Amino acid sequence: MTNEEVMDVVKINQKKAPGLSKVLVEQAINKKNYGLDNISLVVIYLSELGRME
Amino acid sequence: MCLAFEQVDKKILESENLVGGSTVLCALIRENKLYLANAGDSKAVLITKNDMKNITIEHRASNEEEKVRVESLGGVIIVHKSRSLVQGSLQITRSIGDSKYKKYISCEPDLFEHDITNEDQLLIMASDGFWDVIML
Repeated sequence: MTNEEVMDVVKINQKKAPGLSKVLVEQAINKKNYGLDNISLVVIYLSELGRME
Repeated sequence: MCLAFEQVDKKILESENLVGGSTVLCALIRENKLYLANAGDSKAVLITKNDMKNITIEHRASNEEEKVRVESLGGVIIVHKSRSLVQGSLQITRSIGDSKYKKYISCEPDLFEHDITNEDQLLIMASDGFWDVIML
């Protein structure tokens, strides 16, 4: 995926439940044309941090 | 953060039950400061309102600086099927654990500091299993 394509995925799914991390992992799994590798992924919503304080 | 990497590495190396190793990427957020510590080929990407950028540097044997460091310690980088590998086996040049290659690889993380602004939206931290597919 290009940076632009990743940005599009992020923008479309950023506010959706069940969350961007699930969408991104699914994108990666769907694109694999070889055996599964370990995937660890964390998304931190920096824009939301101030609201938690 | 560096001390934590050292201590975890030491515990794994001392353990009789733990073998292998792992790339490590940690984030610490304090007020408006983001601190990242990275050892290995995981990667952190910062998404802003209009852009995205890599924050961390991947420690792979294909990275020229890392190659020089490994070779200065007596290690050898062997290219096999277009992959650069430490001692012909390990793709990463920094990790915790990996006792078999410890003479040549390091647990010392690179440190990154970033001032969080209103432009910053997301931080995505993921292992190579993700980034190798979602090309950046």
